[in-house]
Amino acid sequence: MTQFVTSPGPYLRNPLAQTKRAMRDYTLGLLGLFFFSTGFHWLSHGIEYGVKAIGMMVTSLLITLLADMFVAALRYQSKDGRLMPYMIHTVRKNYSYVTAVLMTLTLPIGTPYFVVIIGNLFATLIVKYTFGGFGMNIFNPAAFGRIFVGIAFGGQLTAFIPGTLGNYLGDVPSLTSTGQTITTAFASANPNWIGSTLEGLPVDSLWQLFFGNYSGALGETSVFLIVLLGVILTLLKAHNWRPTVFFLFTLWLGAFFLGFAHGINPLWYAFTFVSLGSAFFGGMFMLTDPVTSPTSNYGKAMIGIIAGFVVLIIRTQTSLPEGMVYGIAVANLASPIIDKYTVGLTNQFLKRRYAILSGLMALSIGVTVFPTLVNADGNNSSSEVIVEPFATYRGEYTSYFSDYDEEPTKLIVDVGVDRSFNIVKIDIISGISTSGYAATWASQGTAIVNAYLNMNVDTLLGLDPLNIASNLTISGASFTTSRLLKAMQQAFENVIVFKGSAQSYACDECDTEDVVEATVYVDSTNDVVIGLSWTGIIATSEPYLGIVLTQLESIQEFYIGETVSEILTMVLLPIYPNMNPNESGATISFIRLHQALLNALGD
Amino acid sequence: MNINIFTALKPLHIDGRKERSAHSPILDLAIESKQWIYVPLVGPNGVDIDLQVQVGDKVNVGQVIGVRKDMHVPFFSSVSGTIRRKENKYHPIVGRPVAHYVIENDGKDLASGSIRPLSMDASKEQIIQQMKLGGLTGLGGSGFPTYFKYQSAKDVEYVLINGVECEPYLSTDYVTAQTYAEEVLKGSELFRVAAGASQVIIAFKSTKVAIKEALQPLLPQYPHIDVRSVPDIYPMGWERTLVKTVLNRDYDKFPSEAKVIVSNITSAIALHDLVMLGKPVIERILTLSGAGLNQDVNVRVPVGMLMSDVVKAIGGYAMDSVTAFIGGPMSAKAVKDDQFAVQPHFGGYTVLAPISSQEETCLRCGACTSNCPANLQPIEIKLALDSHNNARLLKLDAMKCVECGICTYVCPSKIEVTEAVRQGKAKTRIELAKQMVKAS
Repeated sequence: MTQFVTSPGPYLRNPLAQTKRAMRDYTLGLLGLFFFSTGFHWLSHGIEYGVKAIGMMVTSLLITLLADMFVAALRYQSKDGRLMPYMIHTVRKNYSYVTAVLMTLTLPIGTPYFVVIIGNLFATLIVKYTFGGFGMNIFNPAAFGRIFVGIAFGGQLTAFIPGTLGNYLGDVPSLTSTGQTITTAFASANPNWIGSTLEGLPVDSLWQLFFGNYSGALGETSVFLIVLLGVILTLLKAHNWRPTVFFLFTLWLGAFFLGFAHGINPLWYAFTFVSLGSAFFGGMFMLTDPVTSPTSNYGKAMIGIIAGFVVLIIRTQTSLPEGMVYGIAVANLASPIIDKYTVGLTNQFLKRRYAILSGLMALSIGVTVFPTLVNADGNNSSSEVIVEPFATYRGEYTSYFSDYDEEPTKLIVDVGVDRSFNIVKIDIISGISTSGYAATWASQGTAIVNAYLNMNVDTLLGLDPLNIASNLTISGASFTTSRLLKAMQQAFENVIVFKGSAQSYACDECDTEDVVEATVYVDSTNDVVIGLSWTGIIATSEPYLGIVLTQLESIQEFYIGETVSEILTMVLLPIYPNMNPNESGATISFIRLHQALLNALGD
Repeated sequence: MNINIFTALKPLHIDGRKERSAHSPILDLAIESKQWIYVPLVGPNGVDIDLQVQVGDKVNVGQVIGVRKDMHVPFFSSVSGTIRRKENKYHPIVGRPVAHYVIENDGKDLASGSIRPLSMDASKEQIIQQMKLGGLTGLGGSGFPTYFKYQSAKDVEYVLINGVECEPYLSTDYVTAQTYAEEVLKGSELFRVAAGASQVIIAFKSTKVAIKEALQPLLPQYPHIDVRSVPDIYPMGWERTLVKTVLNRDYDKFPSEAKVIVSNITSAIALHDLVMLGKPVIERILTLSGAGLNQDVNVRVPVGMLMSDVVKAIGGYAMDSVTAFIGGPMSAKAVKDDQFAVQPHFGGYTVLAPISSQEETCLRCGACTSNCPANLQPIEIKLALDSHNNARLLKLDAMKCVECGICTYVCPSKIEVTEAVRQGKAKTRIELAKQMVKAS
């Protein structure tokens, strides 16, 4: 007698539609990237690098396996049958190996093993299992694991293995000089990502960016390979192309307009912009994670644009060098809301949906491009007032950045001053900061430099590097700013400052005596006056004040270069050069200035 | 299916597995196996019929046993013989045991002559009247009375003859259309007249060239008939997809909105037989296929024969435990038993090994949403149903579902999405009814 088994239809299932199979294809794709990266590191930097890459991958896989087993042991109840099969079931159904592979590929080669371990534990235990495991997590585990290690151990995520940089620098152009990741290097060379210089980057052309033969985060370098694998995976239906395409297009278009607005070759800039850093990798392999995406293709397109928006904003307007993982995080966060409001049929409201997507894209690009234009205008107006320095002093400061540095870093800074010894130009020659902090500096350093401008050297020397005013330091990079101050102070190591004042009537008709103060900068090695300035009341009324001010530079010239003893022996009123007889009425003022100077030096 | 960037760009192709049964000749059963014929005394919707014969009466081939009470659909005896008894048998469409007349076949095939044949010159009204008398229903599987569709037809431009048969395993339309090519064309022409349309298009899958080869030589005699091949995708046989593909027309509820009437290719043959020979549907060519049977075959079966007898006659089941269903595997519902009578609108009987799959957590991949030919969001319907969110369920428009089965077919997590949407439809019906009550 034949048994009739009833079950809900359909009774035909696509044998190819399997989560297991999609995950396997996806992981094989990622491993392709990994082997490319390992091969590159091994061949161009030596076995040490190859072993490190493999070591990182093995560590990640082992740690996520252990995390799975740990969670299985915690969840286990006697009704689940025997412990061992339950553990195997948990491991098989949670696909943590995908997280492990993804996590590893987002890390640069110099990442210490303990950071790899902590990142993977955070990704699996906190991000994935606290929400119930595979399919339940609201955030992409690998992206959040990467965010976590980025915040906690940012300085140690270097594109070289600590201690080996010295061996390779110079003959290996694919490493940055400071071991920064490529985005940090680009953000340092081009503040707020706006610019076209590849100086300090481990690549020298767009083609090298495409092919990825340089050192960076393991899986993120080869755009060419990522695109190839992405196309294959899409054809195998292992992932959905919509988030990727909409994300990259938003980013590309944003960069195109940015380049256009700032006079950089838009096509070159747009392709460079999207090829740098983890945009392709994150867009292709992390943003497409179905678990944390909306279910509809419309929603999937929308999170692509949202992520593109976040990356554009973070790259161009914040202190972080790269925003891919944050873009993914925001997209993940938006997914349930998008799902909630995506009702009706997939062919309904098409015009409205296209309009919303294009509007969102236009908004992203507008919000990115306009503020940079406003900022640029501000910078231009302030840069016009910069005067060429009268003299330039070079300062240095050498120290370790952290306990992990093998070599101390030397900071060299040129400080330009005018005749009054006001700082008019600061040129940082090298060694401002390393890795993560360099990006912070790249985005906020200009403000610090501006704060120093127009400060006189006397004030500068009086600053305490251990207790810097808030406008001269960056929270999170205070070490960098303190090093800068030390180097600048070192530039004026041999300068002695004399101060004095004179009190007299500023004019024939004056009722009260006014004070004029002189600050004189003397080179301690040869006692020569190198700069001087006056403050206080030089003259009280026109035209004398105007006369004095127009003559101030030549008055300073008169004194600068003279030794202290010579000035002290000038008993008579000095005869100022180029003095117009009609201006002789200002002589009182000149006498007062001279007197203040004598008082300063005389002490 | 409307393709845009929010749907799958490539429609779904499903391996048809039709070669199992499509190439062997139509099998005729020995007379011994047709000894008992069962006629259900209710319609497919569970409505009783007005009986015109009693237990003990002698009946002839084509004699009316009874007429459905809700609309005029007569039930015929497919053999000549004696009504022996009334017996409760499982009715797979109604879903419960219902009363059947059991007719003992005397093997003489005496004709009753209750329906008079017409000719090819028959008028629109005559043809529709003949459809009504002959109880012609949609043989593609709907079982809906054909005259209903044609008598309300207005301003119809095209009659689409659906020979697509997109369900895997089924090959009855394919085999029948080849064997009865002339009947197909004549029936199509009669449908054209009945609809008052100017053009008939016979559509079949591009892979089924044999139909085209059979029809082509005869086509010159029929100036209003055109044949068209359509891509081998699923569900191409669904009216909406077919009308969109062939004529690029959309409609909301019925094809008549797009000035189209769709009829099945087997219905065309049945209409020919009815009009030209006065013969109602008293036999079907059924596809019996699937790994659960010893033989895959197209077999000529008198309406009312028990499926268990048919299976026995062609060699029985190959497995101890099977999942069997009327029609193809995508949209059918499994039967609880094979002791049921063959109905005119049955096209096939597929027997497969029971499926065993374990549901996994939803991956949210959206494959169901991408591939839904009705442009629904099946997984969202399931989630709304599971979370008892009725307001959301209504917004998701579950009633548009045609239960084609694609969502479950493509699901990588092996979730019974189609079943969930079926429940969603039921729930939506209840909610809509509640709203009507509230409004009134």
